[in-house]
Amino acid sequence: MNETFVLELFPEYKIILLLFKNVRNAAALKEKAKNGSIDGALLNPAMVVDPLQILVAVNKAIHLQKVGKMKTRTLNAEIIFNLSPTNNISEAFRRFGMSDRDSQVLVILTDDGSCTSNSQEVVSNVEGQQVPLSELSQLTEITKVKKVSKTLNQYTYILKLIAFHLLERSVQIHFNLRYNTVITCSLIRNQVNTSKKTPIVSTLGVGDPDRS
Amino acid sequence: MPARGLPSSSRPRDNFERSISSSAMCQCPLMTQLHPHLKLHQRILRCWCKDTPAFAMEEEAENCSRLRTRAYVDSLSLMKQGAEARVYRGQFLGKAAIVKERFPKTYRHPILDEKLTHRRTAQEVRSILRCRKAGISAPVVYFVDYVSNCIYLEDIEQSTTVRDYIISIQQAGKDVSQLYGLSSKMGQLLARMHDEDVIHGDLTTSNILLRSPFDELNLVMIDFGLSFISALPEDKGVDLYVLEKAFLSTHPNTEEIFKALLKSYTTASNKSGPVIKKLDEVRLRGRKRSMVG
Ligand SMILES: Nc1ncnc2c1ncn2[C@@H]1O[C@H](COP(=O)(O)OP(=O)(O)O)[C@@H](O)[C@H]1O
Ligand SMILES: [Mg+2]
Repeated sequence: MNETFVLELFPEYKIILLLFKNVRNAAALKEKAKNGSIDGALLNPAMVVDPLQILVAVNKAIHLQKVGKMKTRTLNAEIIFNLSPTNNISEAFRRFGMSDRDSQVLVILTDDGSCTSNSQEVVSNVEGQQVPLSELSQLTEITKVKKVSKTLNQYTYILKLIAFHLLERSVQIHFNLRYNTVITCSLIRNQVNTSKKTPIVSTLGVGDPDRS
Repeated sequence: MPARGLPSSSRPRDNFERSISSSAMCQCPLMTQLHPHLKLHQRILRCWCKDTPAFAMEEEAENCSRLRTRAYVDSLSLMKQGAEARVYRGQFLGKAAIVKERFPKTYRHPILDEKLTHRRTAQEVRSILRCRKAGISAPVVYFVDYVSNCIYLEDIEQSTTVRDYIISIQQAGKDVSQLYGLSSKMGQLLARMHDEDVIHGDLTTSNILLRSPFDELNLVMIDFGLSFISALPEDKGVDLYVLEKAFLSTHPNTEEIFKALLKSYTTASNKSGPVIKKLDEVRLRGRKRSMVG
C-alpha cells in the first residue's frame, strides 16, 4: 500500500507516500515528528490535490538542501514549506502540516539511506487505517485548498482547477526567493477535459478563463 | 568590451544586455558601484573574495549540483541546440517534460554572462507564470534550477510549431485559406498576452506551438527568455513588428494571412489602437533605416 516514487534528478532517494484514515493519535505523531523519532513529513491530505504536487515540493527541497539554500532547518520542514503559497513558515505548517485534531495523515518519507524511519515503523506508530494512495482524491478538501489562495475569489473554476491556481500562485510568491517552482497537475487537465464545462478547459488550454 | 564570437548584431539581445555591454564597465570587478541598475547577487560579488571557506563549500555544492544536472540532461534526448539554450525532451517527475538549459557563453564576460543567463531564466519563468495566471496557454513549469539555469517544463506532446505547420500546409499545396483561422487565433493569443502587458520579445512562428489535434487550433506560447513586462504601446508595436518580419520572411506569400492576424488582434485587444499606430510608425522607421543603410 506504500507508494514509492523515484526522482529523476535524485535517483538515490526513495520517496515513500503513506496515507492513513481514522487516525486517533495525531498529536502524539506530531510530537514524534518534532523530536525526530519519526523522520518524515506529516501532511494534511486535505491540502493535496495530486501526488505530483508532493513530488514537485520534494524535488525542490532536495535540490535546495544540496546547494545549501533551504529556507527551513530540515528537509521535512522544507517539503511542507514548499507546498505553501506564502513565505511564512508557521503558516505553511498550520495549513499543509498535519494538525493535532486531524483524523487523516499523509506521511512522506524521503530516504537516501540516511532516513532514520522506515515505512513499517511509521505504520506501527500510526493508530489508524492505512489506505491506498489512490484514495487521496477523496480526502482532498477543495474548500480548504481554495481558502489558502487570495487570488481565487475572482475565478469560478471547478474544484480541482482551483487547486491548480493555488499551486501556480505558490510559485509566484516563492519567486522572490530566487528558487522557484510551479506546480500543476496534468491529471487535472485530463479531468477537466473530460468534463463538459468547456470554459474551464480554456484556463488550461485555450480561450478565456471564466471570471465572475 | 566588444563581444567575441558571434557578431553582436546577429544575436538576439534585450535592452538589458545592450545597455550593459555597451559600456566599459563590464571589465570592472565592482561594476555594481558603477552601474545603478546592476545589483549583483552576493554570490557573484563573493567571486572576488574566493578564499573564504564558506564560499568554497558553496562552490563545491553548486559544482556537484551542476554535475548531477549534467548527468540527467545527458540522458535525455537533445531536441534543439540553439545559440542561447539547449532543449531536451524526456521524463521528469514521471511526466513528459522539456528541459531548457541555458549554457554559459564564452564570448561574454563571465560575470555579465552569469547575470544575463540568470535573468533570462527568471524572466522566462516569470512570464510563463503571468500568462498562465491570466489563462493564456503556456507550458507548466515543474522546476527551476538557478544553479544550472535549467527550466523543467511540461512537454506539449504531439504538438508542432506554427512554423512547421504553415510550411507543411503550403508544401502540400493545400488550400491556404485554412491558415486564416490559424492566424486569427494567433492574433487573439497575442492580444490577450499584450493586454496582460507581457511583451514576448522574440515572436516568431517557431515560438508558438500548435497542440494536437491541429485542426482545433489550440495554440501555446513558448520561449519567453527575452520577454519583459510593459504597458507601452511602443513595446507592443515592436513585438508585432518583429513577428511580422519573421512571419513574412519565413512564409512567402502570406501577406494577406498576416493581415488577418493583425485584424483579429485589433478586434480582440482592448488597447489595440495605439499599438497598431506604433506598429505603423515602427514599420516606417524600419523602411527608412534600410534605405539609408
Ligand atoms: N513545452 C514544450 N513542449 C513541446 N515542445 C517544446 C516545448 N518547449 C520547446 N519546445 C520545442 O523546442 C523548440 C525550442 O524551444 P524554445 O523554447 O523556443 O528554445 P530557443 O530559445 O532555443 O528557441 C521549440 O521550437 C519547440 O519545437
Ligand atoms: Mg524558440
